[in-house]
Amino acid sequence: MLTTELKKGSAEFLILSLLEHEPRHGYDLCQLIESRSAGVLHFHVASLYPMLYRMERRGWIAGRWVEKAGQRRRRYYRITRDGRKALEAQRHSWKEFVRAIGQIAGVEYA
Amino acid sequence: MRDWRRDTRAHLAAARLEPVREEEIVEELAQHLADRYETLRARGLSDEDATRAVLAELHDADGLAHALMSVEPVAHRATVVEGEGTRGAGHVLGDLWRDVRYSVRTLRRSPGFTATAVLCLALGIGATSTVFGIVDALFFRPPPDIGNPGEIVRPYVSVKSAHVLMTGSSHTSYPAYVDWRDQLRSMRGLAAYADVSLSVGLGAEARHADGLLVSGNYFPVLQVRPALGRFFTPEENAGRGSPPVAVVSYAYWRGQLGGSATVIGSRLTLDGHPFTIVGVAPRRFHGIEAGAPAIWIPVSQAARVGFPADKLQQRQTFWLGLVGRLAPGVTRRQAEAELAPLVTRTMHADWGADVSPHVQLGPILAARGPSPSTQATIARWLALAAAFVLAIACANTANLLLARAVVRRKEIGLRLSLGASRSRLVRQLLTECAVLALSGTVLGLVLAFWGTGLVPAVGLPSLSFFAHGRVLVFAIVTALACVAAFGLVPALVATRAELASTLKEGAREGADHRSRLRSGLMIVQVALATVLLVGAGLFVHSLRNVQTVQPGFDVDHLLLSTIDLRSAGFSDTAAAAFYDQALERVTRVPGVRGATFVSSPPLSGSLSIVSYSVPGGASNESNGALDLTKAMEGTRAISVSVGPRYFATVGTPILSGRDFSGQDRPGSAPVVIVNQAFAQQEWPGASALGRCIDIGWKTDLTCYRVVGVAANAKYVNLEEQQRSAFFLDLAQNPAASRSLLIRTAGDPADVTASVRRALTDLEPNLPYIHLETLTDVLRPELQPRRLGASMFGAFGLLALVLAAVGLYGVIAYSVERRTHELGVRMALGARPRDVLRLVVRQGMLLTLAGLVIGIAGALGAARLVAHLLFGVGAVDPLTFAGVAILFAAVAALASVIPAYRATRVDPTIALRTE
Repeated sequence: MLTTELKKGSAEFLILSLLEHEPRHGYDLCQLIESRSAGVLHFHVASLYPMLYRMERRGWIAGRWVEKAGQRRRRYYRITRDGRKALEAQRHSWKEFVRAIGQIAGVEYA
Repeated sequence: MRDWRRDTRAHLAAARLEPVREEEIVEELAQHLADRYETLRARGLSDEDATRAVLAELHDADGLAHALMSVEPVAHRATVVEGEGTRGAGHVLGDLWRDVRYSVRTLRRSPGFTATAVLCLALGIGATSTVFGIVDALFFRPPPDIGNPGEIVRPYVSVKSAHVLMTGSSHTSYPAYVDWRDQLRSMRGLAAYADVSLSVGLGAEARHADGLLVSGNYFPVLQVRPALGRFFTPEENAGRGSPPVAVVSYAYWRGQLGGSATVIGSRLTLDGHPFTIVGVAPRRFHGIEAGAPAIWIPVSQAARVGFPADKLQQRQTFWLGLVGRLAPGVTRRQAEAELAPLVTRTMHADWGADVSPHVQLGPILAARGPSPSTQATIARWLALAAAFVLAIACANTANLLLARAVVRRKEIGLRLSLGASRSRLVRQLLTECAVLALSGTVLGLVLAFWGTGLVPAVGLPSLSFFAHGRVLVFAIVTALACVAAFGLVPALVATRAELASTLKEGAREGADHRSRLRSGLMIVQVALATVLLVGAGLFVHSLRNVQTVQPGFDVDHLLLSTIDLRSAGFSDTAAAAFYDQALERVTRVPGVRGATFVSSPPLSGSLSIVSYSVPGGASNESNGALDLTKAMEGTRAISVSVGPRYFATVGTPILSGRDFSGQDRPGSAPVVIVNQAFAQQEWPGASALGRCIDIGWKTDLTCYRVVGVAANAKYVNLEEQQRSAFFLDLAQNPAASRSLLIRTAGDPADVTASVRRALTDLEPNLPYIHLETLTDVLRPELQPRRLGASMFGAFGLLALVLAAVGLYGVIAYSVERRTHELGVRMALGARPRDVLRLVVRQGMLLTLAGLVIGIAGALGAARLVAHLLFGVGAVDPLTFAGVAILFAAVAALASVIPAYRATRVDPTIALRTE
């Protein structure tokens, strides 16, 4: 249970981070997560999209159909102001978490 | 390539999502799968392997439906497709509510379109509602508090013979009235009435009130019930000896008499005589005419309120208006047939005329009778003009909706493809129109309310706007009719969209028929607006012509004062003494330059026209048999008796000879001053001075010597041709009634109070002193013209603005649609100037087409209003050319703005919009 929640929490964190600087569509997000994690992390259609829709409903991201020259239309997601706040909060708690792990690990293995 | 949508949809079925939302998710996911497939292929996988891998990923996602169910439904703000109703019957009301909400949301999303459409409609509905208020009062709403108004008739008599010309006269003499009343069997009653101006109270307290002399059966014939007390009894109308009684109006009772029941039986001093108040009329009752009398008195009292003692015996003055009530089961035709011989007999007995008059019975509303007032005729045209404005507004809105339908064709196409029925979509689009129409109506009524205040007072009984719900009902019905007219076609056109082509972005084909329809609507708008503008031009021109007529005297500096001394009980000598002193007193009031008397003031509607003969004059030259026509018409002229320095005071120059002087007194040789028209008619080319005019009854002719010729002036109304007139000296010909004419240095209104004080100081028991500037006297005459000019002017401008907005919309839309084409042209080397010319040309062609049709229409319509114009021909080239130039300029402006935008098109962007 804890792992599922942790995974879900970290996935949302990842998506918010990727959307921080530019809007991206679903497949783009999928590709980036896979390539930047060197294949360690992989999102399926079934896991990615329900998560995007949930985040959208929560008001963290906003989707919009965009047509670009020479392409079919895609749904692009951008981060909202609430999303940025959530991102900052998560960054903060991740840092705390990592620091705590480090301290504990330092105590254990120092 | 594989249809990833089908695969995706199959996996989503379990989630039972909202259809539209499902379609959107399917599109997004299928896009994802297609991208994944491309990537795998790029990595070197075969088609078969790549497909299998992608499908595996999808199958892997067995939890997809489940996961989505926990998230959906999601309210997506940015989705384009919404408002799809639940499929299945029995949700009509729910659908309606959903449609309304959806419409409001959609409209709010395009504020520019919504604002323009609502404003257009509001202007159209505002214009028609304003005019409907007037038209309703004139043509449809019977006067209030009258029982069974359908049975009420107004008799009109027309006579056309060599000697008498009478068109639709509704007045008669008292003996004739009594004659007809007593013999008519087809009418339950025939009543008579006449306006009377009353002075209530005496001295400084005296006030003026409008009154009505009525026959004893007036109230019973109209089936009115008193609010208080009673109406007149037969004894109160028996003759000159009847007790003086009066009925007052509800408003007068509340406003001037305190509104208490004790008023019944109290005294009211009318024209110096005591009258007993016997009743109060119901609250809204004002009779059958437009005015609102404050006091009704029996016609038997005529002599007490300023009419000549023998007025009721006079057979040759038509002064009583008539109103009758048909007997049960009698038609108007039958009553006309019974009345006609009675009228013929009267004409024969009283006038010695062997004529067969044409008798008509008109309805209670005079505007719908055989001789409507100018006001009613103008109101008719205004109604038409307002309908034009409404038509233009509707065409404009339809144009906007058509343009919008094209913009929305993707949405509509998508919804059709998703299985929405066409009728459902049409209903949805019509709901949107209804929401527009309703908003337009609300704003329109606000405009109408405001506009009604702008309409110059037109002498209508109550133009109070929301006093009756009829205007409201009218506005709503009009709005609904508009929805049907301007909403249905665009809705049908929009939903006719071919599925395949509309789902493709950038599909420009299939829009041509719409753009033809839009151009057609545009041409209609320009044409209608042209007709209105021409109308406005002609009416404004007429008004200006009337206003610039030279009346022949100094209207701006004259004050007219009338005092009814005789009915107030002054003897002739007392009156003469008062007048002499009054003249002297008034002349000393600061700001007064001079004063004089006149028997009947110019342009006040109370002139006497008398017959005369001129020995050796041109009108008698037809030797031999007496020419009857000439006897009746040719030798009658306006006769005015004037006091000292009359001509200098009113500002009419004496062209030759002299003014009356102190030497012209009773007993000295009778003298006369004629006007130029008289001199030219009687002694063309020769001097009139020293000639003789025989004036008086046939047995008692007196020769008056012409001592002067005065310049022509207007006497009856400003629009008359030059009339012959002669002036007698008041000293030699004492007239029964006199008016004081006062010439002021500045604005005559400024000295009114001091003149009134000077006169009441002189004689404390004076009845009410009427003091009016000549400008005020002339105002009612200009009113129908002002009404015509201002309303047509307003509607014309409105139409111009609406047409300009419409034209702008059409051109702007066309520029947008042609962005690609214009981009190609510019890429191929067209200069901005060429593009500008191309676009402006399109607008000008539409305008030109509309102008041609409009001018043709205006030529026809103008002929019909020719009789309402003054000093300007129906086919006035200046007006027509002016309208054409104005319209062309506005149209050029309306098309240059979008055209300029077209020249800013960046070819590369334009080409990329594909």
